Amino acid sequence: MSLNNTSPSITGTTDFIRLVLNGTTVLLESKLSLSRLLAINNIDAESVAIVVNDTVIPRSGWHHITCQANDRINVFSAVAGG
Amino acid sequence: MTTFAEEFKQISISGLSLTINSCTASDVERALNNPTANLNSLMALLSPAAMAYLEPMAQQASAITRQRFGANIGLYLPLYLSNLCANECDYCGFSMSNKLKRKTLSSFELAQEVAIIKQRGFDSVLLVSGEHETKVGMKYFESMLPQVKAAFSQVAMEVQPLKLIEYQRLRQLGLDAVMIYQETYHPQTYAQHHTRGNKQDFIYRLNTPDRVAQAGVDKIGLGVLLGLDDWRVDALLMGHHLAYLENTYWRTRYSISLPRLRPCTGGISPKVTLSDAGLVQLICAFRLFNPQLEISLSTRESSSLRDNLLPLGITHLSAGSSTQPGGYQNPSRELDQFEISDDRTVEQVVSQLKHRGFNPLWKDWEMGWITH
Amino acid sequence: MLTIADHQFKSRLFTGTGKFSDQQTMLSALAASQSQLVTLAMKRINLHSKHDDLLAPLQSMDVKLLPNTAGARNAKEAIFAAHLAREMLATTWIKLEIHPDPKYLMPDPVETLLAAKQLCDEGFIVLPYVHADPVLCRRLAEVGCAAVMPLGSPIGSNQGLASEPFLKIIIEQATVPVIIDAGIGAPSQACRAMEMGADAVLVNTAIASSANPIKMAQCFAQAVNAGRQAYEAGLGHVNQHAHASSPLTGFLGGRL
Repeated sequence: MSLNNTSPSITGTTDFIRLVLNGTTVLLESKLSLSRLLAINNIDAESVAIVVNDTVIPRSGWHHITCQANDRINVFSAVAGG
Repeated sequence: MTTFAEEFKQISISGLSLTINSCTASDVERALNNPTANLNSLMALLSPAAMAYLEPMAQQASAITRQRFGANIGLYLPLYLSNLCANECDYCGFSMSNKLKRKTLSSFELAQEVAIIKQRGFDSVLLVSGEHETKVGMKYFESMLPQVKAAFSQVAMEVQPLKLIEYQRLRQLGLDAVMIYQETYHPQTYAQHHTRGNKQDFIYRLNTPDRVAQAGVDKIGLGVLLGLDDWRVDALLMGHHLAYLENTYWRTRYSISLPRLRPCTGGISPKVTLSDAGLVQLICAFRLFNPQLEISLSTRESSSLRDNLLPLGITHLSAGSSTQPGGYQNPSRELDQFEISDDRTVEQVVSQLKHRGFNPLWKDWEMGWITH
Repeated sequence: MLTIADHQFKSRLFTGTGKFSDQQTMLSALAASQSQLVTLAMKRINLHSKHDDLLAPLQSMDVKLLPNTAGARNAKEAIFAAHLAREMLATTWIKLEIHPDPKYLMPDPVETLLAAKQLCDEGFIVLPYVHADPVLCRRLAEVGCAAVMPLGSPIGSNQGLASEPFLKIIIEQATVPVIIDAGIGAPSQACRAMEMGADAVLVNTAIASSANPIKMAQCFAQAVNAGRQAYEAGLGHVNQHAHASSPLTGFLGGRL
């Protein structure tokens, strides 16, 4: 998907894609769902939130929304704070 | 939007009545230590037990009043527009069944009254009428208000309850304040004394301050007619009403009046007499409850009592009042709404104020830079 | 019992999770505080280092989690953070804090009101951290905030209730619970806040930075409880002796 898009699309066909995950450029197989993305990075899905291209993605979409080339994906978790 | 009537339904009047009568001296002492914005404290200060604490209450009330208002006492005059009335209220001289000459000021007569009031130095008037929706309704008010507003910087009204859009309209025409007295917060007593006319609608009247505030009118005056029922409980319920309004419409200013039932043509005698000491207790209790509250005192009370009440918490005073339409141009007493007890001229009152160290204030302030 | 937006709390001491030396100390201190509302922040995960799982132990403690919007510098960022928290923790509760000033972390009243309005409209339970400003607290209650969290003194400063005269006005006028947040440095200050009629206090630094956080957490629990009990009991009255002479009511001549 293009950088101008504000939400990820569910189409895309290349075998490998390049995207930015938490500030680092990574190479991933295509058609990877957000849930799978968490799993291969050993991130517990229960305690995080996912932001794709500056949009918070509801949990309900994590299974069917797939990563797209050039996406900027950020994963957040809770930390100690006042 | 919620209204006070919904909150009022939750209040048990008989419960309050029992509790206020069982307040003890230690309740009063605790209240004196923490009186502000506390309805439990207000109850203790209005209770029979507080009668033994009038002097310490007066000391505190006086100090708080001077701290907030300085030596200033605002002067105003009622201007009666009409004595027509479509209600039957057994305590009021304007009741429809009373055989008295009915009169509504014409524009010319209004100009005469305005000129006399101006000449006496007043800059603040309270427009009063009976409640006659068809003959003295919005059409009349809309035609008269600009004429009055052109002459005075502060214009208040004490007329029948109006609709929200009507208050909005009057505010555009320069209305600064609305006085709307519930008379009594006891629904059954209210029904006994209001036997004909629109005023029988207790709830509509009860929700009137909500509408006035929603219309953005700067000041609202509450009041009960002390003597119709147990004045302690009526005053406490007015305190609940005031607290609700202040919390809900916190941009608005509030005042109260504490009129005692006076003799009038064809009128009744008080069911529950309020002594001078009781009146002192009421003024002090409300001052301690609410340091910012404006408290006005009319000419219903005698000159000597008014002078003595002044330091305790009073902020606004009328002087040289007439309570009939056209009464400043043609002084006579037969059309009066009620008997006047303090019949001193305004010069005499002003001289007494100065003698006692108060600063008579003709003009409070003017919202000249705000377009209504 | 304290109720905020239909949720009941037995303890009126709320706690933060920041600044502790280690997670075990933090968890023990929270347990000792008996707090039932615990704040936490959010941060982008560092993929290359192992991070402590904060949530699982907190979730096992039967406390309500209150995510904050720390780091947000304006309304837009705070709203984003609230959306993030809702997905992360499956909660609509949010402690709204916006500080554009990194030095003193002073809350921005204009952005806070804007964000509060939108988040309330979206159905969030919003608890805004603000300066001890009575009018702002009125405005925040009007737009639907479930509570207000005025500061006692600059955050993390342990200076206590420097804003006391304004806190009193806020408490007097409150139509929603008032939680004194920030600056409370000693149990006596928490106790004083509760005696004044605050509905709860939020304490973090004073517990976390103590030499013995667990003991200090217990002390705060006791102080908050004592202050609340004193408020409910009614503070002792100053003796009011009627004077023999009655300069202001003498005109009544003993007629009662």
